[in-house]
Amino acid sequence: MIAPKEDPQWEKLLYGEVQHQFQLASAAMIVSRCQRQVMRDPSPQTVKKNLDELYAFFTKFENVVGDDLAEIFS
Amino acid sequence: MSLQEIIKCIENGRSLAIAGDESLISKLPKGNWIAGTIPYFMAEDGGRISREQAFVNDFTDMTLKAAVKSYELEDLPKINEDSPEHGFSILIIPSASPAHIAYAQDAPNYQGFFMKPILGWISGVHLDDLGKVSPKVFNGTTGGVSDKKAIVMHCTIDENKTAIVNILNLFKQGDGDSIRFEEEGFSIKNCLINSQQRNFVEYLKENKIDTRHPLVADYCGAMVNVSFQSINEADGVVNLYAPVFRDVEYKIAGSVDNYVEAFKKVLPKDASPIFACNCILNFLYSELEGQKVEKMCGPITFGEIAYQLVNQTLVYLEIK
Repeated sequence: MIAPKEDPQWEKLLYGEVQHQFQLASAAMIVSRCQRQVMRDPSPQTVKKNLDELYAFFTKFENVVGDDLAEIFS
Repeated sequence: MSLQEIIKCIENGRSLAIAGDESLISKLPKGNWIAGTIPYFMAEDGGRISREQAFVNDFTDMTLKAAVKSYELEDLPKINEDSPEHGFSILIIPSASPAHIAYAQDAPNYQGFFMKPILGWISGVHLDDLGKVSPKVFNGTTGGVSDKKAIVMHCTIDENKTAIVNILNLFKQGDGDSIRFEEEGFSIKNCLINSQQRNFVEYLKENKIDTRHPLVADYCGAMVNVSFQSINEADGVVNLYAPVFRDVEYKIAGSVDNYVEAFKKVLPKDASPIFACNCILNFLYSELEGQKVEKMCGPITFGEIAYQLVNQTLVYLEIK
């Protein structure tokens, strides 16, 4: 079961405060892109947009990113 | 496969992605196929150069639907929109075309990028034909051929299955300087070495950098290479095979002594690729002609697409 969007770990992941080496290439690339976008523009709108995007990605691919999520949210 | 074998598959209504020399592909009848030009392959018996045979991926049995579509330069952002919700899209773009450059630079910022698996390759030519013949892509459904458009096969799979794009990269960031860029693109003049502004050509020369080793960026665990194409000392410009991006830290890759042996060590034992492609620079620098790269058969390419353009990398697709 994926952690709710309100879980503070999502924001820590977005700000790079949680360091994780993803096994799935697309997970690694989308997290990296979202982190760079927020670093460039830390406005609340950009943070929300990128949090929404990350959450949508991990929800869609939950069955193949389970190990990564388990480590991040353990 | 030989020309006759491929024709038989097409006539049987198979959905195919083909890699081969232009002289062979141009003889194929219309059907549900896409193709890109390249005469280099990793075949089951090892690396091979052939103008008489082509490499064929048959997606018929693993897909519910396989739809072919060509994209003009301005329509490239629609590839992701058209890609099925459950499935994958095989994309082929002619090397050095405006579509190649635009996709490489802009794709990571397309709406919803990474939400749908997109992979493929950059078509090329025999190295003897560089500058004489343009790389091309073919749309089997229309008979169209282009050195400008991108061609895609959008493949829908069962909702209970997931298409997974994997990057198998033997290169890792070396322990050298941090390299960043304030300009983006394929041709670069200046860089920041450990935050100090330098001319990139001078830096590479002074430090005797072996440019067979790519720049490597670490995207949260995905190692993404940018390969060196040429150094123009007169103009002080370094030309690359993929764009570099601002806000990304690069390092020169550490060396890989024996590609095939190193490859065997990193290849997941349970890998079940249904499509794979590998870079021509790996083929050349690691002398892969005649050498087997276990399980990973497919075209040797002028660039690999694992969502975005990558270099000196093996990309493969699994369905789980």
